[in-house]
Amino acid sequence: MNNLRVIYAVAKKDLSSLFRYPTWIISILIWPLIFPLMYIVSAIGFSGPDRSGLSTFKAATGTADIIGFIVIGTMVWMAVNLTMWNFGGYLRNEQMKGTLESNWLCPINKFAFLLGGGVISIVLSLIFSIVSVVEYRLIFGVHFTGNVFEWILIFLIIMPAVFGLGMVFASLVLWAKQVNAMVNVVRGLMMILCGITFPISIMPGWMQFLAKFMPFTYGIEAARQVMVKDKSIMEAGANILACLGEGAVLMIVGKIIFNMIENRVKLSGSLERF
Amino acid sequence: MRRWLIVIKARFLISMKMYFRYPINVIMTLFEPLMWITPFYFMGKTFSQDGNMTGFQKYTGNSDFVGFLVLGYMITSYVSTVFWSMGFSLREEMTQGVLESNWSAPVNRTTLLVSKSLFQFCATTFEVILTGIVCHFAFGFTITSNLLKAIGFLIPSLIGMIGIGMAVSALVLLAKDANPIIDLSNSIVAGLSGSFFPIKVMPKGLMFISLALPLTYIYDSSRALLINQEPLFSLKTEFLIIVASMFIFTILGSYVFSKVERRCRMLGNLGTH
Repeated sequence: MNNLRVIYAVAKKDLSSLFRYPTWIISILIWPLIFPLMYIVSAIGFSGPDRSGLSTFKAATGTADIIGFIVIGTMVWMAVNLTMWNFGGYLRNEQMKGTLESNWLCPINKFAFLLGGGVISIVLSLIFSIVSVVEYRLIFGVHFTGNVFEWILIFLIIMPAVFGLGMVFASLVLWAKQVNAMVNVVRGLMMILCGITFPISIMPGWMQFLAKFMPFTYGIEAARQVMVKDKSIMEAGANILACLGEGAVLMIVGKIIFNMIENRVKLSGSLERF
Repeated sequence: MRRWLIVIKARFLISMKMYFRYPINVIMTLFEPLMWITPFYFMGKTFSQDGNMTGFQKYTGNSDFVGFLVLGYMITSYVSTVFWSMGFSLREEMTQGVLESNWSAPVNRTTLLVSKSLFQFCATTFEVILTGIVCHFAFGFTITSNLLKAIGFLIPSLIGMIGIGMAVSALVLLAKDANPIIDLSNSIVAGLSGSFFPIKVMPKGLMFISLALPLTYIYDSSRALLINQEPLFSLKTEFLIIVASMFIFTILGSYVFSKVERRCRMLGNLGTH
């Protein structure tokens, strides 16, 4: 109960900060539109003015819907990216503002404090995903297959992995003291391995092997099966289970790493070090 | 003049110390080009048959999509430096609580701002060279022997970009929360200039905006000079556009920044978050 109060208090404080700087609303409306667009326009450029390259794309991906294929991959990437910056950099941001030590001195569970910092990321990721779907449906006329409940289910399936990774990340940042580089490593691995804009079958064998250790590879594939290729949740079952399983592992690893780092900063007294 | 040089030296050293204080930044330089280019690279592969991209060739004059992407990435690195190192540096100093004390020093604010990003430009040049090497081994990226000529096109472009950076900084002073502004303006400007796709792909309305952006000619001339792709206009015309925009942006940027800076002093809101 006490932990829930901590999570609530931290989330409430973050929401106040969020509404204090409303420029994020611009981001949330424009980013879902322009980030996938960069890849979509490139893909159109690659296909040529007569779209002659489209047949090879269809043979590789199983769909000629370039926009839908790319939007799904980039949507998951944006949710992870947002979580990495907000949730992953949460403790570091507190440190930069000089409030981490005073918060740490409170008689609360520190892990609950971290979880509270993640609430806002989940809310923002959800808004981001909804805005993406609405904008691409209305502006570009993309037809997403499946129904709203299946889409929400897909979102929920990806969340444990996103949250778990955020936990690992937020803890490691306390130790490495560098958010930017750490964010780039994580989102970079995802961009390279998870097939956000291409089918992973196009990569060399060793890269495909590594991709299997990323839950987002399965999450993106499941989302494409349901939202682009008109498959049912059951048909995407294998990918959903793999995504959930790896996501659960990440959450456990996140908790373990957080405990280790918490002990380490306490012993070395390095909480305030930059 | 002496005071000006002292400021530049001091700010250059501060930026350098902070950069090397986090050595992971340097390591990331090797990783970042792979991270940004790989999705485009494999996506390009899904459109190619036996290594040929006949569709893409119709837009650019040859099939070298790797060269197209890598050069796009390199120029975008400079654009990001302008937006992030100049625009964001003010916000960073605000958060760290040193902006007011720095601005209390008897030094021109424009000098303070520009000198802080000088090291970043040097670091970006180093990173661009590393990018070329990494991409050569990872994707087979190569260039022609027109490198010096391309640098001749790049230098006035960079000076013009500093002007844009000053205008962005002014915006940051007004809006306070800099990230969304910088992130969006950086991506929109780079995107519309054809950083990762031929601008001929875009609808006419957007292509018109692209042609009005001087950055378009920097991307285009670099690709024409270094990987023999067809330029939009003659290289002489593109060079004239770049030089003219250098003067326009430098004057406009410093004017906007000094106006906003004066406004902040009048309102006394430099320290408000």
